[in-house]
Amino acid sequence: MKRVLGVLILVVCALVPLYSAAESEGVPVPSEAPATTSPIEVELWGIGGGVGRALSTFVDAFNESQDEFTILYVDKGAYRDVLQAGIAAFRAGTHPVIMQVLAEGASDMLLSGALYPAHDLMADMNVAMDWDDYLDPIASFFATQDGRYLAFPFNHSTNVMFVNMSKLRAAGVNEVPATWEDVESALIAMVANGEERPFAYRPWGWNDLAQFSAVHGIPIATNGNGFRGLDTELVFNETVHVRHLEDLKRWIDEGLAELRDDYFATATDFSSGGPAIWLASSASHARLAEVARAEGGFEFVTAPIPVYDGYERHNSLAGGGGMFILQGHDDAEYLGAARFFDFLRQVDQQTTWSTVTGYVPVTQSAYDNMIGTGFYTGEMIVGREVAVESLLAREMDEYSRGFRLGSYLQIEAIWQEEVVHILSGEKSAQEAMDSAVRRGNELLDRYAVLHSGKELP
Amino acid sequence: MNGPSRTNVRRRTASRFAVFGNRRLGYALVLPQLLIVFVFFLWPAAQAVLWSFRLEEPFGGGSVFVGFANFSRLFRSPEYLRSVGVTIVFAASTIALSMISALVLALFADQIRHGSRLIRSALIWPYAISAPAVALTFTFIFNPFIGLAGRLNAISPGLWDPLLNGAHAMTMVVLAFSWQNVAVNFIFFLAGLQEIPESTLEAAAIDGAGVWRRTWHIVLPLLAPTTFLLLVLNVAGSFTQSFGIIDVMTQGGPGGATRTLVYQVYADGFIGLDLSGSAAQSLVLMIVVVGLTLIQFRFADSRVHYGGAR
Repeated sequence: MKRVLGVLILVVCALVPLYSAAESEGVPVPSEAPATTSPIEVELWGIGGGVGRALSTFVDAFNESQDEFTILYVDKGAYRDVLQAGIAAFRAGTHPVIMQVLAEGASDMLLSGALYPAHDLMADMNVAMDWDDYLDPIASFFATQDGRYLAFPFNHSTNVMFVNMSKLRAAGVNEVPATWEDVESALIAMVANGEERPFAYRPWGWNDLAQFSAVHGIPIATNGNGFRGLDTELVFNETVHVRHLEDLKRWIDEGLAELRDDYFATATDFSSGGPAIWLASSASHARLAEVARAEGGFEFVTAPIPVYDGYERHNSLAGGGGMFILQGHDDAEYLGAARFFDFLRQVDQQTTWSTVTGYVPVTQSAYDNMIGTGFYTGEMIVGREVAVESLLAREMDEYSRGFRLGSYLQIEAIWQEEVVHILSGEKSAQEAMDSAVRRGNELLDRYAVLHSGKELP
Repeated sequence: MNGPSRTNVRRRTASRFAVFGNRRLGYALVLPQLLIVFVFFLWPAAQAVLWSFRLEEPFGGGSVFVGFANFSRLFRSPEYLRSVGVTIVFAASTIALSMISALVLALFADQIRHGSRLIRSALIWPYAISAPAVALTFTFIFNPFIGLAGRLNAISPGLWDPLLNGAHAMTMVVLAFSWQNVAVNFIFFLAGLQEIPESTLEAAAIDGAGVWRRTWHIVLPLLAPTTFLLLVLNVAGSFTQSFGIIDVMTQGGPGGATRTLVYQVYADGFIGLDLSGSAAQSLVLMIVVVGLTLIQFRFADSRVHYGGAR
């Protein structure tokens, strides 16, 4: 018995420090935070990296601007990590008030039942908001079809084409390519002039499927890209998208294009050994401009992404992350969130955000202000205006306003997998896209069953 | 099972285990362990069974009963059947590679007279490295542009192309996974070798048996219990633990060529937010692994000679 007691005492001794450690972490020390005046904490889970650093400076600015609320920004890694952590936390009831989610994944949030619509939040908290100030193409992913916002637009960019014009001129091409046919002849001319594989490529659904289809005004799926109902089927195997993939495969085979595993790092060698034409997020402009200045002397041009001959150019889509409010918190916390978003949408905050990060301003007033102050004529800035111009190229229509497809991120992963089959020569572009559509439709069917009886907002 | 004979174990039982007069104390002491098993294994497993017959909303808003639809969806899908094939290739290659090389290393390490501790420790290290770290290292080695293996492309472009060529990608993940598993197999083999009585080997040597014959006819049969244990562990491990390596190195690509069953569970569940399909897959995987283990015990156990009293 003595021995047993001894063991018990040992166990207790081992546990006590653990317990007290947990307590000291969990409960604020009274001297630091007097109960009466301590600000209310509002947790925000967002992505890390450059966006995260920029976001945290805004959070700090907001926190210093008033003493009622403290936004607590938590870096959860990449978009998919934020979503995974958010879902797990929501199921356990330990979720944050605000969560940053990728625009393409928005459909999964809209029917989740976890959402506190942004529009309702601002109305319930009596914080005035000029919703019409948000730019239309940014609204499409985050608003209901009658224009009520379900989430707050935040960090957005669009797809643009970066061109090392010096290499094109050297090969006798003096116009920035506007069509894919122009791109091909420019590539042929550059290769003839000694350039090696001047077009950088990597299968990227946001670029090749979503943005490509939008600017061509062609469907990804039926029901107006899924907006009109859950009984939606994918149709991107029936559009010029298939031809585009055939062309890309042919370009690689013919030595015009290079498959780059390090595609997103291409910016760093854009000038010297790198490609002459690179399609990427407009948010990469800042880095490219720096590379261009450091290397000195080459002509760096930003242009809208090309369309095929015979297609009228539509607007491109706004990608990036929006801020979603989750249910299950106190009004006090929600008031803090509402104030924070009111702070973020202010013209000077938007202007700073856009300047620092390279993302587009999300409100018309901030955009107007930036034009008015000559922002877009700045030495390191020229070219950034292309992003907003591409977003506003013309009035959105049925297929250029984006899409509302459940499990879209998984559909995109399937699409990418099938494109690899094209590149490796295992499948023709048509076969691969037929297969992608079949597999994607199974996901949409499942999504429809899961949410049967619900209406898409 | 590993080394000591059955009679040995029985004889030691009395002295090794304390017998508690007080039942409740016994239960109390076992309770934490049972709790851990319940919370981290039984409860999630039960949850998976439940989910696999329903369609579950990611955020937990609600769910629909769908019977066996999640399972029939799996077995109708050519991609899922392909994953089964990929898993078998991955498992067979990694088991063969890591067990054979571990055995060879152990046979040699067992002979070392000087500095053997140092060499043994060095061979054990890989096991202490986390899978993602291993994967990251191998990613650099096998990178077709900047890696060591990229030099193959200098000989002839496209000779090494894990980004498009499924066989190359599979080779890459098999090597990385095996490299890490050699360590633990090595430890077990070495321990097994040291259990083999010196006198038996000396007797054989006096009878004129050379190194090869001694290894083939004495060492390997006496190692059978260890080999069998390792086989069971390796089969289960290669079916269920490929995630870390594959997520960092290939994410199941190119074109699904390295998407093992366990990676598919992750991809569908966490990226696709298809908790139910993912649960159905984990259930299938669990049944397969349990089944394989039972089969091994049934057919291999009877052939393994555990040595008897020495």
